[in-house]
Amino acid sequence: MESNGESLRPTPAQARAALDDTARIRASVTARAATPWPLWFVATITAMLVVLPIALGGFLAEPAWLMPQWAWLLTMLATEAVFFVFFAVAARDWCARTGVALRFDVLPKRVTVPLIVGMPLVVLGSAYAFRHTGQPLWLYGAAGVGAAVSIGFHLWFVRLHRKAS
Amino acid sequence: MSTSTTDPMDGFNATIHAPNRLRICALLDTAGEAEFGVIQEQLGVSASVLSKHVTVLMDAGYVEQRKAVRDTRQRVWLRLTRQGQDAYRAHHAALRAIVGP
Repeated sequence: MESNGESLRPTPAQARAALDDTARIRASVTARAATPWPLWFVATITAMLVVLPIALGGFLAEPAWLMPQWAWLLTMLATEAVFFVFFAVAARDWCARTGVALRFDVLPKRVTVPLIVGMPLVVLGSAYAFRHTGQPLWLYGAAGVGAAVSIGFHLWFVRLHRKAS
Repeated sequence: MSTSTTDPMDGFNATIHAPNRLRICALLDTAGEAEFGVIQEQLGVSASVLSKHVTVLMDAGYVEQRKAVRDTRQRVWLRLTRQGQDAYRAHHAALRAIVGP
Protein backbone atom coordinates (compact mmCIF):
# COMPACT_ATOMS: atom_id res chain seq x y z
CA MET A 1 0.00 0.00 0.00
CA GLU A 2 1.30 3.34 -0.98
CA SER A 3 1.89 5.67 1.92
CA ASN A 4 0.05 8.92 2.23
CA GLY A 5 3.32 10.70 1.86
CA GLU A 6 4.00 11.42 5.51
CA SER A 7 7.53 10.22 4.96
CA LEU A 8 10.82 12.01 5.28
CA ARG A 9 12.12 14.05 2.42
CA PRO A 10 13.59 11.87 -0.29
CA THR A 11 17.27 11.36 -0.90
CA PRO A 12 18.74 12.87 -4.08
CA ALA A 13 18.54 9.43 -5.75
CA GLN A 14 14.88 9.06 -4.79
CA ALA A 15 14.13 12.60 -5.95
CA ARG A 16 15.88 11.86 -9.26
CA ALA A 17 13.80 8.69 -9.69
CA ALA A 18 10.60 10.64 -8.98
CA LEU A 19 11.55 13.32 -11.52
CA ASP A 20 12.38 10.66 -14.12
CA ASP A 21 8.99 9.10 -13.45
CA THR A 22 7.20 12.40 -14.05
CA ALA A 23 9.27 12.94 -17.22
CA ARG A 24 8.11 9.55 -18.57
CA ILE A 25 4.48 10.41 -17.85
CA ARG A 26 4.87 13.82 -19.50
CA ALA A 27 6.42 12.29 -22.62
CA SER A 28 3.65 9.74 -22.89
CA VAL A 29 0.91 12.36 -22.47
CA THR A 30 2.61 14.68 -24.95
CA ALA A 31 2.59 11.87 -27.52
CA ARG A 32 -1.12 11.41 -26.92
CA ALA A 33 -1.70 15.17 -27.23
CA ALA A 34 0.09 15.08 -30.60
CA THR A 35 -2.44 12.61 -32.01
CA PRO A 36 -3.13 13.84 -35.56
CA TRP A 37 -6.55 15.17 -36.39
CA PRO A 38 -8.73 13.06 -38.72
CA LEU A 39 -8.07 13.42 -42.44
CA TRP A 40 -11.55 14.80 -43.11
CA PHE A 41 -10.76 17.73 -40.83
CA VAL A 42 -7.34 18.26 -42.42
CA ALA A 43 -9.17 18.42 -45.77
CA THR A 44 -11.64 20.93 -44.28
CA ILE A 45 -9.00 23.26 -42.89
CA THR A 46 -6.98 22.99 -46.12
CA ALA A 47 -10.07 23.88 -48.17
CA MET A 48 -10.78 26.82 -45.86
CA LEU A 49 -7.22 28.12 -46.24
CA VAL A 50 -7.50 27.79 -50.04
CA VAL A 51 -10.91 29.48 -50.32
CA LEU A 52 -10.29 32.30 -47.83
CA PRO A 53 -7.67 34.35 -49.75
CA ILE A 54 -9.53 33.92 -53.04
CA ALA A 55 -12.87 34.96 -51.50
CA LEU A 56 -11.29 37.91 -49.70
CA GLY A 57 -9.57 38.95 -52.94
CA GLY A 58 -12.91 38.74 -54.75
CA PHE A 59 -14.61 40.76 -52.03
CA LEU A 60 -11.98 43.52 -52.19
CA ALA A 61 -11.66 43.48 -55.99
CA GLU A 62 -12.35 46.77 -57.75
CA PRO A 63 -14.07 46.35 -60.21
CA ALA A 64 -15.91 43.13 -59.33
CA TRP A 65 -14.07 39.91 -60.24
CA LEU A 66 -15.98 36.83 -61.49
CA MET A 67 -18.85 37.37 -59.02
CA PRO A 68 -20.43 40.39 -57.29
CA GLN A 69 -18.67 41.42 -54.08
CA TRP A 70 -21.61 40.41 -51.90
CA ALA A 71 -21.35 36.87 -53.35
CA TRP A 72 -17.67 36.72 -52.38
CA LEU A 73 -18.55 37.98 -48.90
CA LEU A 74 -21.21 35.29 -48.55
CA THR A 75 -18.73 32.66 -49.76
CA MET A 76 -16.18 33.83 -47.19
CA LEU A 77 -18.68 33.87 -44.31
CA ALA A 78 -20.15 30.49 -45.30
CA THR A 79 -16.66 28.97 -45.50
CA GLU A 80 -15.79 30.29 -42.06
CA ALA A 81 -19.10 29.12 -40.58
CA VAL A 82 -18.68 25.61 -42.01
CA PHE A 83 -15.09 25.54 -40.77
CA PHE A 84 -16.05 26.45 -37.19
CA VAL A 85 -18.85 23.87 -37.10
CA PHE A 86 -16.48 21.17 -38.38
CA PHE A 87 -13.81 22.33 -35.95
CA ALA A 88 -16.21 21.98 -33.01
CA VAL A 89 -17.20 18.45 -34.11
CA ALA A 90 -13.60 17.40 -34.79
CA ALA A 91 -12.34 18.84 -31.48
CA ARG A 92 -15.04 17.03 -29.49
CA ASP A 93 -14.34 13.72 -31.24
CA TRP A 94 -10.58 14.17 -30.87
CA CYS A 95 -10.90 14.76 -27.10
CA ALA A 96 -13.20 11.76 -26.72
CA ARG A 97 -10.81 9.56 -28.72
CA THR A 98 -7.59 10.65 -26.99
CA GLY A 99 -9.00 11.23 -23.49
CA VAL A 100 -7.00 14.42 -23.02
CA ALA A 101 -7.78 18.09 -23.48
CA LEU A 102 -7.05 19.85 -26.74
CA ARG A 103 -3.74 21.73 -26.60
CA PHE A 104 -2.39 24.36 -28.93
CA ASP A 105 1.15 24.27 -27.61
CA VAL A 106 2.27 20.85 -28.87
CA LEU A 107 4.30 22.32 -31.73
CA PRO A 108 7.17 24.70 -30.90
CA LYS A 109 6.21 28.36 -30.53
CA ARG A 110 9.07 29.44 -32.79
CA VAL A 111 7.06 27.87 -35.62
CA THR A 112 3.45 28.44 -34.58
CA VAL A 113 3.72 32.11 -33.55
CA PRO A 114 5.24 33.34 -36.86
CA LEU A 115 2.58 31.37 -38.73
CA ILE A 116 -0.28 32.71 -36.61
CA VAL A 117 0.99 36.23 -37.27
CA GLY A 118 2.15 35.58 -40.84
CA MET A 119 -0.84 33.76 -42.34
CA PRO A 120 -3.33 36.65 -41.87
CA LEU A 121 -0.71 38.98 -43.37
CA VAL A 122 -0.30 36.68 -46.39
CA VAL A 123 -4.09 36.41 -46.88
CA LEU A 124 -4.71 40.14 -46.45
CA GLY A 125 -1.60 41.14 -48.37
CA SER A 126 -2.47 38.95 -51.35
CA ALA A 127 -6.02 40.36 -51.46
CA TYR A 128 -4.72 43.95 -51.54
CA ALA A 129 -2.01 43.03 -54.04
CA PHE A 130 -4.71 41.55 -56.29
CA ARG A 131 -6.88 44.65 -55.84
CA HIS A 132 -4.03 46.90 -56.99
CA THR A 133 -2.54 44.74 -59.74
CA GLY A 134 -5.55 42.75 -60.94
CA GLN A 135 -3.33 39.64 -61.01
CA PRO A 136 -5.15 36.64 -59.47
CA LEU A 137 -1.81 34.86 -59.12
CA TRP A 138 -1.40 36.67 -55.79
CA LEU A 139 -4.54 34.94 -54.53
CA TYR A 140 -3.57 31.54 -55.90
CA GLY A 141 -0.15 31.94 -54.32
CA ALA A 142 -1.68 32.72 -50.91
CA ALA A 143 -4.05 29.76 -51.32
CA GLY A 144 -1.07 27.54 -52.11
CA VAL A 145 0.79 28.77 -49.02
CA GLY A 146 -2.29 28.07 -46.88
CA ALA A 147 -2.66 24.55 -48.26
CA ALA A 148 1.05 23.84 -47.77
CA VAL A 149 0.91 25.06 -44.15
CA SER A 150 -2.15 22.94 -43.38
CA ILE A 151 -0.71 19.76 -44.92
CA GLY A 152 2.71 20.47 -43.46
CA PHE A 153 1.30 20.80 -39.95
CA HIS A 154 -0.64 17.58 -40.33
CA LEU A 155 2.46 15.68 -41.47
CA TRP A 156 4.42 17.20 -38.59
CA PHE A 157 1.82 15.96 -36.10
CA VAL A 158 1.93 12.51 -37.67
CA ARG A 159 5.73 12.45 -37.37
CA LEU A 160 5.70 13.84 -33.82
CA HIS A 161 3.09 11.33 -32.72
CA ARG A 162 4.98 8.37 -34.23
CA LYS A 163 8.28 9.55 -32.80
CA ALA A 164 6.89 10.13 -29.31
CA SER A 165 4.95 6.85 -29.32
CA MET B 1 15.38 47.39 2.44
CA SER B 2 14.43 43.82 2.95
CA THR B 3 15.29 40.90 0.75
CA SER B 4 13.09 37.87 0.66
CA THR B 5 14.40 34.57 -0.57
CA THR B 6 12.24 31.51 -0.88
CA ASP B 7 13.68 28.09 -0.31
CA PRO B 8 12.58 25.66 -3.06
CA MET B 9 12.34 23.01 -0.37
CA ASP B 10 9.39 24.91 1.08
CA GLY B 11 7.39 23.57 -1.85
CA PHE B 12 7.92 19.94 -0.87
CA ASN B 13 4.45 18.46 -0.56
CA ALA B 14 3.91 15.17 1.24
CA THR B 15 0.42 14.71 -0.21
CA ILE B 16 1.65 15.01 -3.78
CA HIS B 17 4.89 13.09 -3.26
CA ALA B 18 3.26 9.66 -3.00
CA PRO B 19 4.32 8.04 -6.33
CA ASN B 20 0.92 7.55 -7.94
CA ARG B 21 -0.29 10.97 -6.86
CA LEU B 22 2.86 12.54 -8.26
CA ARG B 23 2.19 10.73 -11.55
CA ILE B 24 -1.45 11.88 -11.56
CA CYS B 25 -0.36 15.50 -11.00
CA ALA B 26 2.36 15.28 -13.68
CA LEU B 27 -0.15 13.86 -16.13
CA LEU B 28 -2.81 16.48 -15.42
CA ASP B 29 -0.27 19.31 -15.45
CA THR B 30 0.83 18.19 -18.93
CA ALA B 31 -2.56 17.28 -20.37
CA GLY B 32 -4.61 20.10 -18.87
CA GLU B 33 -7.53 17.71 -18.47
CA ALA B 34 -7.67 13.95 -18.82
CA GLU B 35 -10.28 11.24 -18.75
CA PHE B 36 -10.24 8.86 -15.77
CA GLY B 37 -9.70 5.81 -18.01
CA VAL B 38 -6.68 7.40 -19.69
CA ILE B 39 -5.06 8.16 -16.33
CA GLN B 40 -5.74 4.61 -15.21
CA GLU B 41 -4.12 3.27 -18.39
CA GLN B 42 -1.10 5.55 -18.07
CA LEU B 43 -0.51 4.64 -14.42
CA GLY B 44 -1.32 0.95 -14.83
CA VAL B 45 -3.46 0.83 -11.71
CA SER B 46 -6.95 -0.41 -10.97
CA ALA B 47 -9.91 1.95 -10.96
CA SER B 48 -10.30 1.61 -7.19
CA VAL B 49 -6.64 2.46 -6.51
CA LEU B 50 -6.82 5.46 -8.81
CA SER B 51 -10.08 6.53 -7.25
CA LYS B 52 -8.51 6.52 -3.77
CA HIS B 53 -5.63 8.72 -4.87
CA VAL B 54 -7.93 11.07 -6.73
CA THR B 55 -10.08 11.38 -3.62
CA VAL B 56 -7.02 12.38 -1.56
CA LEU B 57 -6.08 14.99 -4.16
CA MET B 58 -9.63 16.28 -4.38
CA ASP B 59 -9.92 16.51 -0.59
CA ALA B 60 -6.72 18.56 -0.61
CA GLY B 61 -8.29 20.87 -3.20
CA TYR B 62 -5.68 19.95 -5.84
CA VAL B 63 -7.91 18.17 -8.35
CA GLU B 64 -11.43 18.77 -9.60
CA GLN B 65 -13.64 16.57 -11.71
CA ARG B 66 -16.16 17.06 -14.50
CA LYS B 67 -18.65 14.46 -15.64
CA ALA B 68 -19.53 14.12 -19.31
CA VAL B 69 -21.74 11.63 -21.09
CA ARG B 70 -20.28 9.96 -24.17
CA ASP B 71 -22.00 7.13 -26.06
CA THR B 72 -24.58 6.84 -23.26
CA ARG B 73 -21.79 6.24 -20.70
CA GLN B 74 -20.72 8.72 -18.10
CA ARG B 75 -17.03 9.65 -18.23
CA VAL B 76 -15.13 11.47 -15.52
CA TRP B 77 -12.60 14.08 -16.57
CA LEU B 78 -10.04 15.34 -14.08
CA ARG B 79 -7.97 18.49 -13.98
CA LEU B 80 -5.66 20.26 -11.55
CA THR B 81 -7.10 23.25 -9.73
CA ARG B 82 -5.00 26.42 -9.68
CA GLN B 83 -3.98 25.48 -6.14
CA GLY B 84 -3.07 21.98 -7.33
CA GLN B 85 -1.04 23.31 -10.23
CA ASP B 86 0.90 25.65 -7.92
CA ALA B 87 1.46 22.88 -5.37
CA TYR B 88 2.62 20.40 -8.01
CA ARG B 89 5.03 22.86 -9.61
CA ALA B 90 6.42 23.87 -6.22
CA HIS B 91 6.89 20.21 -5.35
CA HIS B 92 8.59 19.58 -8.68
CA ALA B 93 10.95 22.49 -7.96
CA ALA B 94 11.67 21.05 -4.51
CA LEU B 95 12.59 17.69 -6.06
CA ARG B 96 14.90 19.43 -8.50
CA ALA B 97 16.48 21.29 -5.59
CA ILE B 98 17.07 18.01 -3.77
CA VAL B 99 18.72 16.51 -6.83
CA GLY B 100 20.88 19.59 -7.12
CA PRO B 101 22.64 21.12 -10.10
